[in-house]
Amino acid sequence: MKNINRRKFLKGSGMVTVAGMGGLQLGFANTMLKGGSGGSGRDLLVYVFLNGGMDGLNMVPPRSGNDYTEYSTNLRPNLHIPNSISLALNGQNAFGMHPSATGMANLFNNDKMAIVHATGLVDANRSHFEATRFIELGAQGVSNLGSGWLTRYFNSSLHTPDDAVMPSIVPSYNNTDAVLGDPTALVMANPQEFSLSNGHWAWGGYMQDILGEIYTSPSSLEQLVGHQTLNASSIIQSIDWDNYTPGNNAAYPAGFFGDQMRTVAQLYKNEVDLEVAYVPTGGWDTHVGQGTGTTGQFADLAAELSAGLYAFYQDLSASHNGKFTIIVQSEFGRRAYENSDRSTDHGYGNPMFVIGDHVNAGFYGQFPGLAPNQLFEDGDVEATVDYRDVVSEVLIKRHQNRFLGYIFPNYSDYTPLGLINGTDLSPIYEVNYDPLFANGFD
Amino acid sequence: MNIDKRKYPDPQYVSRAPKSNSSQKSNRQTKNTNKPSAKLSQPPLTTQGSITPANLIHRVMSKMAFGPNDETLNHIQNLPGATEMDRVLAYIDEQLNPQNIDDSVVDTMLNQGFETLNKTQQQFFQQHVHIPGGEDIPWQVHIQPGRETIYAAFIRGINSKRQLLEMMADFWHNHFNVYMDGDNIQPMFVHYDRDVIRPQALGNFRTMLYQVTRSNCMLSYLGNGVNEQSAPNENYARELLELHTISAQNYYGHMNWQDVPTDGEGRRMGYVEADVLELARALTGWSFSGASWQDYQYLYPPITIPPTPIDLSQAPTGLFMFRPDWHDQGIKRVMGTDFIYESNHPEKDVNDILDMLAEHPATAHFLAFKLCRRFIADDPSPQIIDSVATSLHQNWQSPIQIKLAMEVLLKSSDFLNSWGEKIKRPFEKSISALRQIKYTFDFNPTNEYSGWHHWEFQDSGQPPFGWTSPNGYPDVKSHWLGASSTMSTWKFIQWTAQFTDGENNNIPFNQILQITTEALPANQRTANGIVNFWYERACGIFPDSNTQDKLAQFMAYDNFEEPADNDRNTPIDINNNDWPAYNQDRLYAVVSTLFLTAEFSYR
Repeated sequence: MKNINRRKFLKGSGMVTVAGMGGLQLGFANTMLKGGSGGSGRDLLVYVFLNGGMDGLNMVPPRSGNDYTEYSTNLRPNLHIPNSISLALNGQNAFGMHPSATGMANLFNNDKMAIVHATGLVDANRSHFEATRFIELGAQGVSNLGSGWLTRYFNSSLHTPDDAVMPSIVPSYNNTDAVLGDPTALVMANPQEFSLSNGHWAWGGYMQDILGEIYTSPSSLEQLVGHQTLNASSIIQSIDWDNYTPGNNAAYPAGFFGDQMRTVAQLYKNEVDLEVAYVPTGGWDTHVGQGTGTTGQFADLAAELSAGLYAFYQDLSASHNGKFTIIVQSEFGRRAYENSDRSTDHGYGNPMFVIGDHVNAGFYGQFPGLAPNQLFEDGDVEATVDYRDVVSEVLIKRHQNRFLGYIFPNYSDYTPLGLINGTDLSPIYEVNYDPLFANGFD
Repeated sequence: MNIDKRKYPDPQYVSRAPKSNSSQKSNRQTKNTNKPSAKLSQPPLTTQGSITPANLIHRVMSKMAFGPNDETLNHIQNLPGATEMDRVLAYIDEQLNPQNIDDSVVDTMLNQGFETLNKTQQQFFQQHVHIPGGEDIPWQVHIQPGRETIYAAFIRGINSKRQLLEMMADFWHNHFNVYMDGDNIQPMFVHYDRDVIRPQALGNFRTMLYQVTRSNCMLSYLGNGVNEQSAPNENYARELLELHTISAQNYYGHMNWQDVPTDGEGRRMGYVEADVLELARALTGWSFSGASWQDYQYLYPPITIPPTPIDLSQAPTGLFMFRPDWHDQGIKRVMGTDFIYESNHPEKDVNDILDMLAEHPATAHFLAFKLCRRFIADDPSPQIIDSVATSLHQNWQSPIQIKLAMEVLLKSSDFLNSWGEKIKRPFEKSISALRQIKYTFDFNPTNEYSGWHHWEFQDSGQPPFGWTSPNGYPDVKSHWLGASSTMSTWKFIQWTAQFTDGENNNIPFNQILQITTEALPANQRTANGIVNFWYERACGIFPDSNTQDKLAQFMAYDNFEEPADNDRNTPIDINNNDWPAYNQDRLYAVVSTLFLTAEFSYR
């Protein structure tokens, strides 16, 4: 490999170089071009996306002052969480936690969670489809982006090992545009389905074996992908999914989110070089029947989310202390005013949560206030923090990836909040900066 | 709208195909339970020059069609011509004229259980998007036209004799990509497929472009429905230049338009950022009935005594609607040319711009490149691109422009001789496998099994009309060489190849048995004979020795509990499916394994 000029090799094999946007193809570019194995033990990023617009104002409700007065009297007389039942969060009394989110409150009070106020897209967008797409693609107003932000993260990652078996997974029934253009991302709701299990009961297993023998010595790209697919399938099948004992006796909640987080934990522990897990969840679009206090749709969602996050933290910190970070966000928050169904409509500014051992627990970002003149467009919580600042700080400090202009097109004003510790790097904003050659290959 | 149902159907309610029809589950573990070596340190080779090319007819059918099937092979053999090449060229001529090809099998299938394929655009809007009066539409009704279009795509891919037309329709759907799951797109999709894309798939690009520009599907998807002069929405204008015509390769960024180089005939060779805005201005008001909240005000008549009834005739229709008060009437300068609004021909300025874009050689070149990439190779030769581009450009006003260009492409030696420069994407691979086994399932929308097929195919990475971005499904090998999509596509093929009709004596939907018994006399139905027959049939080449060896070994197993390396030249009674040999089921398994090999993925 050393004698080959890498650019020529890429061009000759028909793979596009990673500079530039749109139509990026990872394929085997990464596999071939990282110098030697980076070794295992990469930090894990778990990115939980709450589809539907989580109601941040009830998830992290005000507890005192003018904000509480507005909240409980004018904005949500029937929907607010009274400060008698919201959970106290250390060090301040301005905000609390939804009463069903006990796990998250524990994480905060044990210095493992940061809450960032009022995050959002730079340009408010209340369309699920559009806002979600912008966040998944990592750019707003750049049309025709053929790759997602995670695709570009991996494309520019200088530290992902060249033989990483499963660097990214999406434990979901639906794909996400965050991994658009990345054929190595494993989209797999149920790991036990990742096998040739659709065959005849007597002969189906032999299909997989025979196919393995057919693909045993790949000598072409097409054979290599067959080989890798079976490889991945074998690894997944060799994991004892049903007999898993989480660390610290963590108890994952019943339901799909709990399953998703447990899948991530198991995969990570099986040393398949997992680096990013994108965990989409749904059901947060509470236009009707939101419920208040500890009953109703939203309380159920909060309970499930909180228990899942907490269980994952407990589980992984037993054996992988300090090796993972969880980011939680939604596409937008919800309107500050309750609607005629005692529920909420689409809004704007929303809290984000960052969980991990390196987090500087506490509140970040400037909460814009709930007085009528402080609301955005007469009804939403204003956004004061660009969500990319939160994600970027984790990418730089925990994952050593500073190609922010490449990962987030048109982003040029990274402003770390100081919510997590790690090696700080100055960001690179040039889109055409060629990350593959950044560390001086021949 | 509650997006919950759309994105996260409760898995219990999703009719997923069952894993196995038998109550007897095998306890057998697959052999590969050890964690294999994770290191893949050997660099993969490229395929150029290292794979055996398939025979001519196989090559041609794999690239201009969704793969060969018996009917077409027989048909080609019976065409006039002294050589095989002559007959292939005759076949190409036929395919270039789909209107002369009888497709009654497909027509019949599209009449069974389909309810929406003949509705008008307005009916789609007023029955599946917004009923005049505002009554709720059940979700299943809302998505019905989209779902029927998907089933029609399967039916046509597998059964249509107008295979080139199907490949072209698929191409243009991707070129003018509209994501079916976008807001209010599913209910309109039959219209988009039937009225906008298919009529000009081998016709005229300028005409298709015009129809796209007027369709509420595209106007909705790219936001032009609400493009209004005080706050122009640039989304569609940008894609129109970047993806549909001049192409991103000719984007000159934030340069001054005067600095863009000109060609020898006075045309600017590309576009700049300012042109996007100018085009957006031109497209203001280019909307549809139902795009604006104002279109729904008919639901709220003034409160009077006695009450004023709602006037249902004012309900939005979904049809193209030019909104003069939204339209920017100033001069628009696009790529150095001024376009002037005329009040008595209000759509003229956009039409003039579309003329300029459709005539532009950059557009011809871009389309030619994409067509050559679709049908020949990921990196087609400059010569073939130029030939096709020249044809497109010269005939830009001809109603058979695309057909003429495709004739140049399909009769080129690049097309006729290339092999393995492309791989089958999940849809192509699945359809070509189903054509090989003469799949009989009818995709009747009222049949529960149709939904099973739909859901089983969702994870493949290429569900029909499922690409979210306006640039359409990628068309290069490296995008499709991934484990997730590969495994899902394999599973779909594995499932369909042994899927039986539970409503009808468990008769299989494949015809593997009939095909094998018709082709091979009983004494040739040996493991080697069966494997060699199917291999050559499916891959168009003499079997690779390793693949042949392993598949023949599999075919020779006569006991699923104790597989032994039996003699491969002993005839097998494939009409018998008794324990423990299960010859028929094994036959289906062996054939479907063949479809999962690398050889079957080339085109």
